[in-house]
Amino acid sequence: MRLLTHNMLACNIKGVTKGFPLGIEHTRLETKESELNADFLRHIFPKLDWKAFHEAAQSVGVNNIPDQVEPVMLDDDEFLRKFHHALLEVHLEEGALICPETGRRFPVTKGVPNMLLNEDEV
Amino acid sequence: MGIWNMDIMLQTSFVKPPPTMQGTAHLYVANCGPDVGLAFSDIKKAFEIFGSVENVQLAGASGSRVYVSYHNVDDAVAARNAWNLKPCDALQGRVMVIQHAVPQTQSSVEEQVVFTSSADVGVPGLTLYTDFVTLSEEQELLREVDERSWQTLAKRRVQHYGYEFLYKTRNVDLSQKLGELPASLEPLLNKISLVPEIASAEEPTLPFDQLTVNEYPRGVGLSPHIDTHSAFEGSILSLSLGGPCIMEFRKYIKRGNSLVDGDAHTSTSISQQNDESNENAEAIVVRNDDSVPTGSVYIIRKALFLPPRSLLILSGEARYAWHHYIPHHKIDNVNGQVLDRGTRRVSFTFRKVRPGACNCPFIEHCDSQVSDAGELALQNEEIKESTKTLEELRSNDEIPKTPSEKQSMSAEMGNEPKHFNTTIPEIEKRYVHKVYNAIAPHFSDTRFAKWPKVAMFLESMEPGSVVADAGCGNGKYLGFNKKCFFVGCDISPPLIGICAQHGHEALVADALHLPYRTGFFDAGISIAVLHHLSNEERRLRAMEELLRVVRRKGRVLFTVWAVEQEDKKLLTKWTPLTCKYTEEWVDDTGAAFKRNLSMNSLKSIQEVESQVPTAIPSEDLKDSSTEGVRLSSMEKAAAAQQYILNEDLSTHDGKMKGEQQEYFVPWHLPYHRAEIAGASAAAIADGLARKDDVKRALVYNRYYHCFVEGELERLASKIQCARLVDHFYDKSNWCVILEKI
Repeated sequence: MRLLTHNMLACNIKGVTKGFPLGIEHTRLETKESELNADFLRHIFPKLDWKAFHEAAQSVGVNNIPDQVEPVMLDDDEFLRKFHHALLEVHLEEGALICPETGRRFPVTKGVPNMLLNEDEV
Repeated sequence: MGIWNMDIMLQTSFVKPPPTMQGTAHLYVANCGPDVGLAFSDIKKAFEIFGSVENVQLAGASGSRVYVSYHNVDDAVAARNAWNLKPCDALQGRVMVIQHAVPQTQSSVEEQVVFTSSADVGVPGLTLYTDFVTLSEEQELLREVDERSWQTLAKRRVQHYGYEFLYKTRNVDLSQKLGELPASLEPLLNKISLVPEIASAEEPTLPFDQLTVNEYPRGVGLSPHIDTHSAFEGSILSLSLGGPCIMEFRKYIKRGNSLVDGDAHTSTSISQQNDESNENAEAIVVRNDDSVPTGSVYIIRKALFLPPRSLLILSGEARYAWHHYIPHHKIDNVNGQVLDRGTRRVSFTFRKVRPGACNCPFIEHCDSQVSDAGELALQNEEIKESTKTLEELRSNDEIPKTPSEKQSMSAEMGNEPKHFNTTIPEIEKRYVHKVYNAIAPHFSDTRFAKWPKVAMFLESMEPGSVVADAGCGNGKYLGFNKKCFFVGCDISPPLIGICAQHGHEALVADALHLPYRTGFFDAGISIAVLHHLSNEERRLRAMEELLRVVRRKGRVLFTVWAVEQEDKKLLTKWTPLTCKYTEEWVDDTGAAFKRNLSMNSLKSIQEVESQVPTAIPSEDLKDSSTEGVRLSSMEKAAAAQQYILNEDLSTHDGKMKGEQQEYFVPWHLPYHRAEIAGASAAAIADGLARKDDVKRALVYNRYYHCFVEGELERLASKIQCARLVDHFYDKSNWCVILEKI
């Protein structure tokens, strides 16, 4: 699971009002290189909750993501490389995602988060 | 008539050619146009490699799809052969989806002419007065009703005066008079009494002693019905306030049946309808339905625009023999002009309670003269029009609903919190989830064909779009458009495992409870998912949920298996699940079983996803059908349980009596695969699968609810936050594209 996906995931347990962003626990991370697509990064940029992305990056040990960003930075190749790496190349392989409101753990196994809710949670 | 034709933005003058047409001079070209950086002149120049191009124009609103029209068919065919789904050197290596198109002719225009005056509409006994009340009178009337208390029905609110209209009996109780009509209405009633149609009516109508005020929220209509004859006499009046609407009038004529109207008018109508040059543009639907062996059914439809402050008068034939209907639209297309319904339409319906029996000449519609006239009308609706289902009829509120349905419908009003039964039905757990988990690797190995329409939808995405695939299965569409980011989810962990192995971003989640932020995605797809959900509430919920996670103006494609299968030559064995059938099933006696088989003459339909579709000679049909329904006792029990649960519903709506929609569809897992999966013994022990030693396969049954024509659109119309931008039939699937608003 990439941090981009983390940025769109939320815990939608019944009654939860603030299920985003999910906390990250990791026992195994993996870096998988991929081709940088500047247009894609520029397109996705405004959609991201940057604070959540920044925190998520830090929690997986990527500390070179600035906590404040300006759209103009998207013209900077160096920034784009860091952005790309954190967003798309770091994979959470084993660990868990934690609901910020309830503490509910969603396990991540072989890179796959299991976000299924129990019947009493929906 | 297409429910969605008001969508003028996307109306084009081209349609898909009929299958019999080999090639046309016009091409639909997706992933090509100004939005992908190609000017019309560039496109024209590129396509002129094959011959002279007459015109290039946008196809729809997206800017990335065009129609290219050649002078010669051969040139268009050559262009398509050369460039469809292949990199096009003349256009910077772009890969386009190219299909033939035909200009829309009058006969293929589904649009309905909407009349604006009662003289034009030509329904005997119908009169419309526009601007019957002034703006200030309208405001005053609305203010007055809003000060009084409303009775909330499933989809609309009502107030009754004089007598209460009882929706259960569709009648009034004469012994329960509520009182006189409000005195403040006296000026209005006086004005009405002077209208010629009322003042000199053949059948006395005055004084009106019953008033129902209906408040229709935006998008809510009224199902087709005729007001109960025995309840009211004389004319029926309807004053429209607030927003406008279209009212459709329908007359049903059944040929070769004693119920045919005997009057001269009817026969005139039929002959008019058969005349293609008919300028009245009355839509007529002619169906040769097997379930109506006595002959064809004709429906004459006439649509009338009811502007605010207008007074509609229904007398005689219009009142007694024509169904009236308000489509469930948020906006209406009145002859090319798009009109919003507004936040609400409030109608004042004035009627006169009938003290005795009705002796009108329209006997077949008369509950006083035919004991089951009301029922008959309903059955006619069912039989005659596959695009209309009982759901829509029942949304009329005048037909009783099951309690759970009432709950879900009132939830749609948004006034109350949603009470959605969140428990996954056993039939889905067992006959969808468990089965897919068991067959996942084999299913995945055989799932690679990509449907062209899905491909076209995905190809048309803006580069950089984020796409949610809800119920992605083995993820065959994930990563289809390399310029987009796909996230797939499915409730089956083994299938998601396969997606992950292929490097796709995928997670385990329920399509009814997506673990995503609201409004994040640019687009969504739900391919062959909804038909695995076993009740309408869940199917609707899944649609709403996917729309929730898509941004405004984001689009979602839904595809589902159709009851109307394309290729009927390929027969496979599906097991129809019916209430009646289940009763005998549980009995488990061979005799009962056989009797039922012959009764139902099992509908064998091509399995869309069958691994290797095989043509079965017709003589073998009986045997293979028999085999298809040989289910384990646990399957019977589970199905029985499900249908006992649904019994109330199915008896009410009669759906099971009409089109067969619920099926078990077999999946054959070859023995050698089963061994790999290590599942065979457990699955048999569990009753999940049975052995077929002839085919050397484990046979699993998957639950399907196949959609009838119009069903998906009808579901879509219930979604407040979306509008329908396209709907089509493709490879035995019904498909809709919705846009979030």
